Amino acid sequence: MIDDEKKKKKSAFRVKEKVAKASFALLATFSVLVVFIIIGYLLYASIPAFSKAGFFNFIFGTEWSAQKEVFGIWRMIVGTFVLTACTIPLGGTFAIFTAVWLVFYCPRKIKKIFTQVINLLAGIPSIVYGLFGYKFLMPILVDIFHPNSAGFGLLACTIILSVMILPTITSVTKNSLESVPSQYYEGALSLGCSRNQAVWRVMLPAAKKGILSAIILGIGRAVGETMAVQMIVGNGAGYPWGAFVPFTTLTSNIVENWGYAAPPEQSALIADGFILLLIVLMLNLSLLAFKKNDGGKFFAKKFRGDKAGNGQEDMQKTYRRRGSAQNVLCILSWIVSMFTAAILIFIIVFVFVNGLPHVSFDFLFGESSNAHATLAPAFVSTIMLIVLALAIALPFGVGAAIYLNEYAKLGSIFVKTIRLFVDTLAGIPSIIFGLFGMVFFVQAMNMGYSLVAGSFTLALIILPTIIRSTEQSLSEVPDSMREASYALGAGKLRTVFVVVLPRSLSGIITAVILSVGRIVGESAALIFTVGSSCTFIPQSYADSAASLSVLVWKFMSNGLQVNEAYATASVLIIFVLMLNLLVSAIEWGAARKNRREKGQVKNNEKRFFKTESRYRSI
Amino acid sequence: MKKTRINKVITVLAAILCFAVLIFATTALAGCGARADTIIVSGSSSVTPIMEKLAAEYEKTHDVRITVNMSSSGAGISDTQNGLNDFGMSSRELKDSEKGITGETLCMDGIALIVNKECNIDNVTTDSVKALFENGSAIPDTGITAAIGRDASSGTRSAFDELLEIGEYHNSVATLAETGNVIEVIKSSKNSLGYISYGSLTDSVKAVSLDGVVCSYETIVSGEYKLQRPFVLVTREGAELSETARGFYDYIMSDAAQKIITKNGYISVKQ
Repeated sequence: MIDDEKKKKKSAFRVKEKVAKASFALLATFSVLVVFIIIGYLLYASIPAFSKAGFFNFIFGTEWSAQKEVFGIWRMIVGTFVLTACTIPLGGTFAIFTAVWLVFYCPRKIKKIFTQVINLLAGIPSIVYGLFGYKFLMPILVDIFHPNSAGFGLLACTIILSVMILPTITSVTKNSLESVPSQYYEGALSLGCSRNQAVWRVMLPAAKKGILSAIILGIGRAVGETMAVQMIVGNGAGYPWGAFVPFTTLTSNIVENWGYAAPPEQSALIADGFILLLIVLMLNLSLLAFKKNDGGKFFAKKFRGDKAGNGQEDMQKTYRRRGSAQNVLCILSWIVSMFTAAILIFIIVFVFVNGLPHVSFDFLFGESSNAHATLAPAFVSTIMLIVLALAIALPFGVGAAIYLNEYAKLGSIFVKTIRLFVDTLAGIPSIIFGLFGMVFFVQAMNMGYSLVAGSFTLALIILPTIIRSTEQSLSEVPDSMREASYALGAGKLRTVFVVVLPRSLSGIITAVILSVGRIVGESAALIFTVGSSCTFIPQSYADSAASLSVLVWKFMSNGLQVNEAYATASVLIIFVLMLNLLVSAIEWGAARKNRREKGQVKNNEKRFFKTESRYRSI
Repeated sequence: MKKTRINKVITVLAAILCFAVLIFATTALAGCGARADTIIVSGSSSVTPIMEKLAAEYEKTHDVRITVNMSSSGAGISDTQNGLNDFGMSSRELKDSEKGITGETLCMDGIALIVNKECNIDNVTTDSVKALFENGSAIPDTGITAAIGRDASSGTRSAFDELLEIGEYHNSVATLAETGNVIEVIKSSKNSLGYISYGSLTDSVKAVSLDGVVCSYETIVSGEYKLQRPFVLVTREGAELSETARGFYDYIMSDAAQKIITKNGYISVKQ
């Protein structure tokens, strides 16, 4: 009897565990599904355009005219490529110098602050960059160069876009520099290299693989950037041959024309977005190829070459003599990083000086009407978007992360596939999500321009952030905790929910805050799904509304409310600042907690500082 | 001990954040019950400023919520065709190719040619403007070398192009969405010429005369200033306006509203 009951219990237990595992796996496959749905649906929606003009004509056609119903995107493709090709060398160089400085030269005391600077640059909404380029950079460029135009074009775009991709490249480069074993550095020093030589000739090449993937991510960011580019590119009908010729990119074309496109043009614009998506997907795949490639090859070759032995001593001597070049690089890296920090401060000061005087309690929270626009409705709609998007994305994201970290076999093909798709999803530009949200949620699911359509779209956008960040914090929970839990007789499911999840709560909260930052800064995707007008507090999720970022764009475009645009931008920046501080506070708290729990706070702290300063003390 | 306190602070902060979010969300959702009647008007960014003023006035005496969605004439017309609004706004005459809709003229509006305030220029000729937009050639002796146009679906642009018989724009012409963007660029660029609705003209930019005719209320009324076009309200053919929308529509066409229109620099058609 007792045995029977036990058996029953056991089998019930097993069923429960199996069901749990299956459902977590299901949640994890969701992101794969999303990528396929996006690709499939956009392709489906752009078929009319392709079939009408022919794929080849659509790509290589140079005329885009809604009246003649002729659509060719060759100009936009060239525009996007030229802009990216100009941006990557500038932004990439700045970013790599900044990363090297941050890892090797930055004084310990300001390292945290400078990391914040980079995070802030990443967090400033694209619309604010656009505003800055439009109102500050373009007039200055015109004053300097006296071009035959109002300053629209390649030069202004390249500068703004370089600043925008800088944080992406810097943070990935920084991570890969930090993961180069410190023995390389010490080895170089003991062979007689100077500190600068060790940094530039040993550490930097050793991180080559990471830097290349950083640059590819940067390219993805540059290709997909929409709102800022749209504001300063000028949308001219020409090619970008010249620093001040207005041209059009794939993304700016979509934003410029979508608002009033009739069905044939709509399909052409979706096809435009589909081509953009293809470019981004190809970039992602090339990233995968890099990861497969053995990054150590570079080094191995060098050493083999040395072994072949063409007078090793000579080589050493010249190497030593050449040290001055590296000293120059060191100084350069100081200048570049200070410049980067200055840009951030400058943007913030510019927006605050123009915006803060117009921020008043009434402007923020007063009752809004057609006669008197305030931000209150935008606050409410932004918060409604945040709540619903998180409510949708959190279960999926956390579930997927649990599957990837707790259930899946390490390195299995299934896991690799899911990771690949999560990364792909993270790399898709928000304008594509906007288009997808428009054709799928707004039109096909018949939600109309509404907060609910926007929330669904945003949920897809923040999903990769949540999965990655949660997975990271899950993996930091020591295995001994899980083992102890199993030893006490707990099942896997129980272990996950009672032991592992509470321990990684701070990571999940960080994921939430990062997502909130993403939502607050999002504009392109929302214009297409929620609308751009927000005079009244939305009364339900079915209403059309506008978030704060979108409102900056709206205030900017109607021309009579530029001060309000600046004021809203200031509010946005303050919001982003607060979120960033909150993230670092939580991370800091979590780190301290971990250390304390290990019972070696003092010891650890010492070691911690030692590692931090290892590049300085030697 | 100190560390626990920091942790507590963080927990409390996080809790407060979550709580605030919840409160906001519930208040937002609670509003669902009391829904005032809503009217959606969408279309031309040139018509939007006056429409917002009329809406503000109407809301004072009526319990309705009027949402004015600013896009462009083309969008206003296609929204009306697709039944996405109560009625649309266009800043040009409807074209024959635009089926299933009827238009009624709200008022007349001029198209002002604007330059930066510091520009030393008061008059341009039709030919020079045409050459600037079509060939990108500078206007002689003025320092005006760049043209700022509007997007293809703008009513102001189609009226402007039609009135001055301008064909395709030159590659050097920047085309911007919305009236405001044009004003903003002109405000900071001393070498550009753009065009906007006369009603949206502010002190921040300077309007120049065309062929010696000043752009003013009087010259537009007399027809002397040739750059003018109607603001048209677009309704769907065969579909009745809702009672609320009908009320607002009738108000717009009333004498009281036309007075406001005149006061804001547009030319009423009822006088």
